[in-house]
Amino acid sequence: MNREPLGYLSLHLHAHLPFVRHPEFEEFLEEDWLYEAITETYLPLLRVFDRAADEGIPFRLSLTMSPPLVAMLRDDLLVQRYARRLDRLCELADRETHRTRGDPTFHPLAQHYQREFGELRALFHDRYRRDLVAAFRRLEEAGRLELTTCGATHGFLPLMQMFPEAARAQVAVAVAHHRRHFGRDPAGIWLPECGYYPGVDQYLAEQNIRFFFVDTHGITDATPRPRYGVYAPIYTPTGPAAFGRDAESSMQVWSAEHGYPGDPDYREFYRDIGWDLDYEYVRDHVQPTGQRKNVGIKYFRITGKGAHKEPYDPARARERAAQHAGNFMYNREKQIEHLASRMGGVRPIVVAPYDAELYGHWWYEGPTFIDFLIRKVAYDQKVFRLATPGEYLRENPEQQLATPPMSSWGAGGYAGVWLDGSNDWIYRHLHKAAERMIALARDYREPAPLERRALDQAARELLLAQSSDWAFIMKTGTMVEYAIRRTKEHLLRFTRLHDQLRAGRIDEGWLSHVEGKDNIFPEIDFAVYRPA
Amino acid sequence: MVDRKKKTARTAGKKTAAPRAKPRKAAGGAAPRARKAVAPARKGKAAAAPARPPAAGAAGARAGAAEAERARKPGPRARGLAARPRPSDEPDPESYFVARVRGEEAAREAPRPMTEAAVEAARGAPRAERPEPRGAWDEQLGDLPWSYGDDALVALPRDPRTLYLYWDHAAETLRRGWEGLQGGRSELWIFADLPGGGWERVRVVGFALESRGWYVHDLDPGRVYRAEIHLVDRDQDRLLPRPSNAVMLPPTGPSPVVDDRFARILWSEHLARWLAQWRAGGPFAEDLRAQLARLSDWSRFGAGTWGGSAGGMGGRPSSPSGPPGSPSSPWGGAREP
Repeated sequence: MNREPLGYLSLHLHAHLPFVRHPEFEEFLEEDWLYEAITETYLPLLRVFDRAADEGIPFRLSLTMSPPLVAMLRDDLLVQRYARRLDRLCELADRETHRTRGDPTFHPLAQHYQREFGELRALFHDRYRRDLVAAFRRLEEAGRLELTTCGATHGFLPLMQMFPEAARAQVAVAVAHHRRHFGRDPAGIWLPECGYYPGVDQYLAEQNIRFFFVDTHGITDATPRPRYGVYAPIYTPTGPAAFGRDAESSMQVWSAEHGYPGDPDYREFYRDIGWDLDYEYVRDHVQPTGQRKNVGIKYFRITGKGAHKEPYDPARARERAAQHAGNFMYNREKQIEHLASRMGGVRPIVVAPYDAELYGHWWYEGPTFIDFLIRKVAYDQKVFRLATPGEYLRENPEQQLATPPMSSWGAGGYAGVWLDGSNDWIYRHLHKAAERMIALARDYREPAPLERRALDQAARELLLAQSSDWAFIMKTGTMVEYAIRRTKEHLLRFTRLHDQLRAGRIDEGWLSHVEGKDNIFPEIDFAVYRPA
Repeated sequence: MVDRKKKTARTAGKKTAAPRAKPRKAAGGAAPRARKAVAPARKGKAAAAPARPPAAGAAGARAGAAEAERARKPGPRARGLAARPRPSDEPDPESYFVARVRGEEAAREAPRPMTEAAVEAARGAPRAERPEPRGAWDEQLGDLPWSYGDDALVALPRDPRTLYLYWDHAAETLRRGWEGLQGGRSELWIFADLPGGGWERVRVVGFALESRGWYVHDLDPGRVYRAEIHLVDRDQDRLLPRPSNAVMLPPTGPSPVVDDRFARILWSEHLARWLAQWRAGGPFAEDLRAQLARLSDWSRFGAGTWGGSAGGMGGRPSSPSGPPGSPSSPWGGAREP
């Protein structure tokens, strides 16, 4: 006799990359983010999901497909460039197989990459027809994934709260974009950086978005005090439900000290042949400037904290991923049994959200871990089942009413990552642009066709400037020059459009150029900024 | 409430459990077990040893030596090839991913330069410029303005105890503000809301207007704040237009409010419709509407209370409810004793 599960585990993967598209260059370094994520995360995850779906494994996961990521995955130029990149990667794997011939340790590894890249190329071209968005959509239609949207350009909403039309636009544009690409309204949203502030839920309710995620303290510090902590969602004042991140299950994957990805048997991220091999050998695969970079072939395992690294053994790593999936499941069983015994008949939900790119790109075995986990959960236990937030709410429509505090999942838990000495200079410009955009939308009720184009492009430029990724990069000190450049370029293009509109002198040639370059959201309607 | 301490104690000590699902065969056949590492490079082939100097650590030192050696004596494979690897001009492009999925510390501690600071430290050569786009439209975008010439003071919530303020003033505003002041100075006045309504001044900060932005630390979490800039001398103070917007710093810790009200929201109902219904006159029971109204009050600055924002950047057009010592006119008022 089947026992009713005691609770739920909700795995959520947040897939997002900033919009990076540079048609003016033959190759552009930051476009690598997309290409690497496709090869190492999105294709491997799709392979796991599709294989499980083909085999009838009853799994359910939720996944953010952020609008910039969707736009890039559907962009002809970037898809062409990716296909070329994948071809070159396959060629490099062939060369490696040849170079290591006769070497009993590294030759099998080279063959592993040769097989892997060949399989990914076949998936990309043959199974998915170079359209990964459609592949994710089919999985949603098959009832396996629940796809959520995100802020239109991943703008951090708490720092635009004094311009409600700007925050509303981030939500409304994202929903329209999602509808266009996935053929349905998103049931949920990943607020960029889990950035919630009281009141933003109204913009979600207007779009009938039923749920979003907050960090743990977004629930535990809510008012009134949530009775069940993070193990049940709360309804915000306007209706959307907030699901809180479970710290325990997060730590098992995220923690640098205790997390699974640090296991000695797993592949070492930093030992890549782009850095390890003779420069002349890899020069065609590194940066056009001559700098080395990762190329995606790595022969060593983590081994330990020291510099010495042992060769990677894919079979051993796979075995370890199976063990970790078993461990993760076991801990959720015990956790949910314990919670259920104390929640008076309410079935707990454990919400475990992660950056999707952690899986595969950083943690090479991450997709394999998920593969094992969804199979084990389906067949090896009966304590809980996988459920998406939407599924949970359909089954459990009665929830406590409370208001989360302003919060985020960034370091410190609030806005400190996106507002500090390294990046605070951007806000006076972002806010001025938002104010001007709102005023334009208010003033242009019936624009002429050329004015409409300029207004729509102004909205795109503002949205692109608002991406939280730029402030994040400035804070972390990584690709700072690029982040500053992007912020400024979008703001300056916006300002020029604004000034040309106000002066009644729109430079159509330049406008066409900018429309071709920053071509995200072709469906946008600037009126989304119009004050109520 | 859930006793999480106990639960943690029960599960934290659990070691890796044996998998109960039979592991599937590795894709493409099982790879051999790890064997003792042997030099992977065949004679005359590329070496598998690290060839580029990471920023720090023993491995970096070894790799750096190897790189230097190769630079001195290019091998047969390199002869006739012009390009050599340059020192890092920019952080490793992976740095974005590392910082995002493993955190800022991981990017700082990476074995090769992943932050601009690390690149600066490692670099001995001038920074290389990125290639310019070929045939691209020179947009001549210029640079962002130093000032928009507005009169604005904007408050942003950074964390439960920190407010960030930035401001911008028209030259004429500043000229008029300083006019006639004897040895004047600028002050930030910080006001917090009072439970019964109204504001109390909780902080006066001396600062330089030229700083253009200021972090106000050590405020009380969970209160609503706003700020004003005053130009003062011994005899008078002048409020620079405009006062800031009001903003709530997030509360911390479990709420003292314990009120277990539940609502049932059916999936089939559109939330916008549901929203309309809970307002006065709708079909929902009075107690539920009262609860939702209280929630909105707890939200304090939930959507709708801000109004539109096309009217101007920054704070409200006039000082709300006249805090003590705050002049109702931007240019009038005597200094608070």
